[in-house]
Amino acid sequence: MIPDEVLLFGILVRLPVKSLVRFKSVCKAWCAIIATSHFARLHLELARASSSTAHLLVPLPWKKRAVPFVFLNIYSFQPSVESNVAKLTMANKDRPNGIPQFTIPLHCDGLILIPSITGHTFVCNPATKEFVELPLGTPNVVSNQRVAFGFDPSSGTYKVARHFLRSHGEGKKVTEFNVGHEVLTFGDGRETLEWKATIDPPHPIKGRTPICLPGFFYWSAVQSVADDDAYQAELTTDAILRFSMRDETFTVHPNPPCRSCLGFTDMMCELGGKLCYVHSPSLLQVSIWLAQDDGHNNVITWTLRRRVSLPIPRSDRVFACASADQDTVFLSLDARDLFKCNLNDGSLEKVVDTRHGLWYHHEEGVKFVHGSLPFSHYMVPYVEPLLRIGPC
Amino acid sequence: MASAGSGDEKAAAAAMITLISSDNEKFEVTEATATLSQTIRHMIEDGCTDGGVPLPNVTSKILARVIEYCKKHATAAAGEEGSSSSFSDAAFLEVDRAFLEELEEFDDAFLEVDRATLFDLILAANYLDIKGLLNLTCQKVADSVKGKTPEQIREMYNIVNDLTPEEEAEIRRETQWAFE
Repeated sequence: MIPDEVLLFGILVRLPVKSLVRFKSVCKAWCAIIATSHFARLHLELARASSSTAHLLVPLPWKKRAVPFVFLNIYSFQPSVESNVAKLTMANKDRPNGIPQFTIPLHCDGLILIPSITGHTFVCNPATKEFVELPLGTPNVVSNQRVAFGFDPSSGTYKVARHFLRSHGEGKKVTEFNVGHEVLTFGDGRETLEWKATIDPPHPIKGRTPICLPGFFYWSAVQSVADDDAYQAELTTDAILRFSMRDETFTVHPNPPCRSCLGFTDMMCELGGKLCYVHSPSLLQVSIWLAQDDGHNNVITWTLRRRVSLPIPRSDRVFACASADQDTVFLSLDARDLFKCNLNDGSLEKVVDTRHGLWYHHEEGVKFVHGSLPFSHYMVPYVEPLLRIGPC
Repeated sequence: MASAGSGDEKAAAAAMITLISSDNEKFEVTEATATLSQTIRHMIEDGCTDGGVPLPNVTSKILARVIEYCKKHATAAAGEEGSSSSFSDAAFLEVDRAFLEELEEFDDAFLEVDRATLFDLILAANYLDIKGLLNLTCQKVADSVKGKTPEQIREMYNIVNDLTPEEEAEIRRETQWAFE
């Protein structure tokens, strides 16, 4: 007979999530081992090594007026296999008050975090269908908030961070604002999910989606504002605020030399494990900057990786997403038109127009295109995770 | 001239290792082939391979297969190391790809065995600590069990179901989607 160790950690660990979930009813020992975070991490490492072509698409509906709820569906997408089909992998969840208007989805190890404008935050595992609503954090006096989400190798846990603005004053008269920052930890089977305050960030964090690399969150923050024209974005100087999950400390780093502030048309992205800055100086131009983060000396060095000329003008901004091949990235114009970009020569190849050319498949033959419906289509890299979000 | 030749032969002969199966059959293999096994590598490093390496857990039938695998993969590893300096990049990539394709074909053919042999190969790969072979054989078994039901798995691996009917029903309810 095959020893248990080989059976579990040699064979079972290579199975797809669906098989493993089914095999929880084989016996007590299997059920317990499949549920451990140790097994889930081994499974993830193997899954990552064997397939790196999968992505998820999250269509994000945007409404001009506040609506009580929106639909949140998550689709699997393999542009290198079938570039015009996305298959439903996780359907909209029934929630008493619906899903509030959400913002750009974040991802880590195949888990998807959905932040919303109401401050409600959801984390889901599309492979196990687990969907968890995180507790609300400290109230924020403004609604322009973002959430960060990443893995902390030092503790083997996942961390979610949020920034908020506190007001101080007497009665209704507010005399002072200051910024706060808090972190929620999960993934080690702990019983309760709760926010814990960290030290305050040294600069106010901007309401822009942050980036996470293992062990670190990267926020964009306002370092200084030119006196008179506080509203002139060009006159503010931004910094990258790096939060270390292990030490719970902030360090301040410069923006790439192309621009001193993270303008509306620029975007921070994660590209194959590196911090990336997509700067778009004009409607038809994009430059991709990559950061080398020397964790030991706390130094971030920016390098221009490639300038790219766009074949069609962007309206807002360009998102970058890694592909399986290091020299190729996906560029998504306004989260609508998807291109493959060769980083060696800057050439672009159209993948799909996610609004008019992408068929979204639901069960039993139901398929549709979004057409001119007001949706942005966010693409994130995906690997099937067995990881459990909530307590066991 | 003749003496120089025999000196070379001696050096080559010195790099040979004798493996002895559980049924006492002897296999002569090169050190490069044998050291794909971490277990044997450590024995060589400790200098305890004189007089052959007894492998009481591996039959001659399985050991012959394991050696076949190691020979092929040792050649491939040596080829990769040697070719990087003697070919231009493009030629190297070409050779590299041909190697990998050949290796893949070899692996596929190698896995065409019955289940009992596959399990024996896993046990041998585990005991001899041959990472590549263990990965290959485990993946083959994983591919064959992924569509099975829990009942079939219990039968295949002689596992006793120690879940109470209530516990099993509870797990089944939570994981119903995985049975569809």
